Amino acid sequence: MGRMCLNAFLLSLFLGGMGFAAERVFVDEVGRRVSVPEYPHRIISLSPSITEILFSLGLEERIVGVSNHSDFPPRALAKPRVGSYINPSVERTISLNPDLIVATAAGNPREFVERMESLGLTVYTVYPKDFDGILRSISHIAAIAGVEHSGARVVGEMRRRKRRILELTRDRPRPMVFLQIGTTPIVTVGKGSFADDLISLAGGRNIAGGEPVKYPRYSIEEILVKAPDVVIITSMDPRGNSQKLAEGWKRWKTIPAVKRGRVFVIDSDLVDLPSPRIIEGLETIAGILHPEIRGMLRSQ
Amino acid sequence: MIVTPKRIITICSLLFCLLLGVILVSLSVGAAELGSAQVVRVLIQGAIHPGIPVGPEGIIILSVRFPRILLAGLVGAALAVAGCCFQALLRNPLADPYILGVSSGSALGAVSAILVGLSTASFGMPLASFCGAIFTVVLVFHVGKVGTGLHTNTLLLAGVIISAFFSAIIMFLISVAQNEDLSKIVFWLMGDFSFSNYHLILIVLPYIMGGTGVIYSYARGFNLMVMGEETAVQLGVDVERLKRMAYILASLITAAAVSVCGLIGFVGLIIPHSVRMLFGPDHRLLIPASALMGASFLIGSDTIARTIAAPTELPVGAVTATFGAPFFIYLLKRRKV
Amino acid sequence: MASIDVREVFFRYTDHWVIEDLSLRVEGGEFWGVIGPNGSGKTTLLRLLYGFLNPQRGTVFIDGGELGRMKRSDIAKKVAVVPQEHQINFPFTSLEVVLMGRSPYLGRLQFENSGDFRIAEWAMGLTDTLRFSGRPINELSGGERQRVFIARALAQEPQIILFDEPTSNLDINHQVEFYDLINRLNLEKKLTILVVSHDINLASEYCRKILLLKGGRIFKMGSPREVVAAEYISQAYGSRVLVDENPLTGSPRITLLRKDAPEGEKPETKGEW
Repeated sequence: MGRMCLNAFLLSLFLGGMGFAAERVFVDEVGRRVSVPEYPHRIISLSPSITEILFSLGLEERIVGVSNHSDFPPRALAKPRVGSYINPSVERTISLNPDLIVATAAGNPREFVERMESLGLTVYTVYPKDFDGILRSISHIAAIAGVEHSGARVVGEMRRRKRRILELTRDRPRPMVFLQIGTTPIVTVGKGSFADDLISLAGGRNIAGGEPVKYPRYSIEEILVKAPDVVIITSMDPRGNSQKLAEGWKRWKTIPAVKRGRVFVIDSDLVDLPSPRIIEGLETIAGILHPEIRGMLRSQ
Repeated sequence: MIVTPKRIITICSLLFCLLLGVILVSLSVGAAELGSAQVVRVLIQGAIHPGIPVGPEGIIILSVRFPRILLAGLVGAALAVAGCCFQALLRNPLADPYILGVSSGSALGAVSAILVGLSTASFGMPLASFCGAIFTVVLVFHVGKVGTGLHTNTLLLAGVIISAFFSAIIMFLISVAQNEDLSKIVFWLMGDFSFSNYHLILIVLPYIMGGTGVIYSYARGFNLMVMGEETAVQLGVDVERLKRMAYILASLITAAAVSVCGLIGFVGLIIPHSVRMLFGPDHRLLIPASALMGASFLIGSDTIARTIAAPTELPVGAVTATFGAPFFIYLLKRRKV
Repeated sequence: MASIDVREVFFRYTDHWVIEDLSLRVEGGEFWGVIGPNGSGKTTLLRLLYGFLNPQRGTVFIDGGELGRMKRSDIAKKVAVVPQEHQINFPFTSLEVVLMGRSPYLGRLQFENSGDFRIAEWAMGLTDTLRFSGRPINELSGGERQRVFIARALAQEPQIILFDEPTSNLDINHQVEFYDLINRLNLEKKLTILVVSHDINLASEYCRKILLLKGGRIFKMGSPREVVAAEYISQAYGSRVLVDENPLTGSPRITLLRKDAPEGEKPETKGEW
C-alpha cells in the first residue's frame, strides 16, 4: 500500500512535470477535487459524447485516446481506442500516458475512476442530467482544457438556438408525445433522461414523463389509453429501418398519432447523447411537434 | 500408479513450474504492448528497489496485471479443490462446486447489492455475495439433512431446488434493473477480474489456503468415501463428520472465490477430471495437483479474456465455458458407462 | 480367533422394529450363513455387527469388546466387510483398492510403507488377483471385482469377515469359486465368517451353522440339517419347498415348488438311484 502511494505520487510528478508544475484545482461534477495541469495535451475521453465535445472545442490534436464507439465526428475513428465505456481498459489507458482523463458518471464505472485516481492519474468526471446540464459540462470541459473561448462559442450558439425554439413554441398547443427507444420490449423515456427534457423544451408533453426511471418499460395498453398525438421512434440507423419501425405502429389505428400519420423516426444520437448535437435533436423534435415552425429552425 | 510422497512432490513441482511459466507469460501480454524483457526488468527492479518509481509500464505490471494474475490463480485453485471435494462428497466425478446452490446464493447477494447501491462501498460486493453464499449453504445443509446425517441425494435435490428458486428471484431483480446496474450485473455473472487488487487477495487468501489445507489433511478419507459410505465406515472413517466437513469447507472456499470475481464455471468440473485422467483418482495427489492446474488454467483463461479482443475485455466465464463445454462433451462420450 | 456376541439387540430405522430382541453367539472360527426373506433384517443385522448402525437397545460385543465404545479404526482392525457387488465411478487400480484395507492402521497423514505393500500382495496372491494390480477397478468383471474386495478385506488383517450377498451378481462358476475360497480362509486362517445370502443351497452346502431370520427375529438357528427343513423354510419364506439331500455331499438342498405341484409326495432318495 505504501509502495503504491509512493509510486502514484512520483508518477504524477513525472507526468505533471512534462510541461511546467503549474496546476489548477477544480471541483468536478460529482464533487471531487481535481488537480488539472495548465495545458493538458494528452487527453483521454471515456465516452463517445465526451469525444464529440472535445472535438467541437477544437481539441482534436490533444486527444490521445477515446472510448470504443467514438465515431463522431468521423475523424474520431482515427484515435486509439481504450475500451468500451462500461468497461474501459485499465492497461490501455495507463499506457497512453494521459495527463487528463474525462469520464462521465452516467456510464463509466465508478471503480475505474477511483482506480485511475489511486494510480495518480487526473480524472475529471462530468454528470449532465438534462439539456442545461450538457451546456454546463461543455463549459467545464472547455475550462479545464484551457479553451474557455471555444467553450463560450459552442455553448452560446446552443443557447441561442434553444431560446429561439422556446420563443416560437411558447404560445402553441402542446401535443402529447410518445418517444420509443426500444421495440421489444417497448421502452420509452422517463424523468431524468435527456429526451424527456427535450420534449418539454420543444413544447410537447411526454406521456411517460411521470415515470421515475430514465428508461421505463411501457405496455401498449398504456399507450392506447394515453393516446399520444405524436409518436417518435429513435433508431441507430434511421434511414435504414425507418419504414419497418413505422410499420409496427400501423395496427393501432385508434392512436391519434397513427390516425394522422404523425409517426416519425429520428437518429438516436441526436436525443440520447449529452453532446453538442443535442441541439439538433431539440430542433428536430420541435420541428416534428410544430411543423409550422420548421422552416424557421436551423437544422431542418 | 501408486501415490507415494515422492510422486506427489515430483508431479506438483512440475505443475508448479508450469504455473510459473503461465504467470510470466501472462505478465508480458495485455492490452498495453510490453515486451517480456521489460517485464523481467520491472520485476527485478521492483524486487530489489521497492521504492523507486517504475513509470507506466511498472504500474501496469505491478499494480494492474500482477494482482489480477495472483487473484485468478487463487480463485482457480479454490474452485478446482472445491470441485474435487464435491465430486468426492457426491461420489460423482461430474459434479461441480456450484451444484449445491452456492452460485445462485452468491449471485443473489451480488445482484441485490448492485441494486441497493452497495456495490460502490469498497467491500460491498464481495461481502454481500459471500453472505448470500453462506446463507444458501446453511439453508441447503438444513434442508438436505436426514435425521442427523447428510444424505447425498437429498442434499443434491435441496441444492437444485434452492438454486432454481434463487434464480427466479434474480431474474425478477434483473427485470427491474436499470441500464447502468444491468451491465454491472451481467459482468459479475460472467466472471470479472478487472478490479483485482492486493487488498482483495489478502482478504480471501486465509479462507482459501486454510480451507484447502484442512481438506487436504482428509485426503485419504476422501479416497475411502468415494468407494461407498459403508465401505468407508467399515474401513474406519467417521463418514458423517467427513461429509459435513467437506461440505462446509468446500462451500466456504467456493463462496470466498466467487465473492471476489463473480461466477466462473467449468473450472471446478474439468480440472479435477483432467487431473484424474492424467494422474489417477487418489486424492492425496488429486487435490494439490488440481489446485496447481486450476490456478494455471484460470490465469491462462483470464489472460486470453483480456488480450484476445483488446482493448475490449471478454468475460472470463465465457472463455472457461468455451474450453469447458466441448471438453465436457468429450468426457461424457468417453465414459464407459 | 474372535467371537461375536449379540445380546438382546433391538433396532429400528423409523417406527417399527427391524431387529427385535435378537441374541446370538458366534464362536471364533465359525462359518455362519444368514438367510431369510427380504425385509427379515439380514442386512441390518450385518450393519449392526460392524458398527455402521447402533442398536437402540442391547449390545454387540466383538471379541469381548463392546462395539459401541470402540473406535472406528479399532473395529476395522477386527472386522472386515465385503460389500455387495457394485459399480465404482472412480478409476482406482486394484492394488490401490486393496491398499485401502490398510487404512485402519495408518494415521491420517501417514502413507503406506513397504510392510503395507507386502500385506496387500499377500492378500492379492490368496485371492488370485495379482494380475489385476494395475488395472482400474471399474474395468474388471463382477467376479474379479468381488475378489479384489475380498483381498481388501484380508489386507485389513481382520479376525472376522462379514459378507453381504456376495454371490448375487455372479455366474454359477464364480459362485462356487467364491465359497471355496471363503471355506479355505475359514479353515486355514481360522477367520470367523458370516455370510448373508439369498442362496439357501450354497449356504447350506458350505456353512457350518445357519441362522434363519424372519421379521427381525431368529426363526431357527443351528446346523444346516437342523435349519434347512421344509417346515421352517416354507414357514419363514411363505412358499412351498421340497427339501432333500444333495446326492453327492448329503447337505440339505431345497427345491422350489410351483403353486400347482401335486401335494406331499416325495420319493425316497436316500442312497437310491
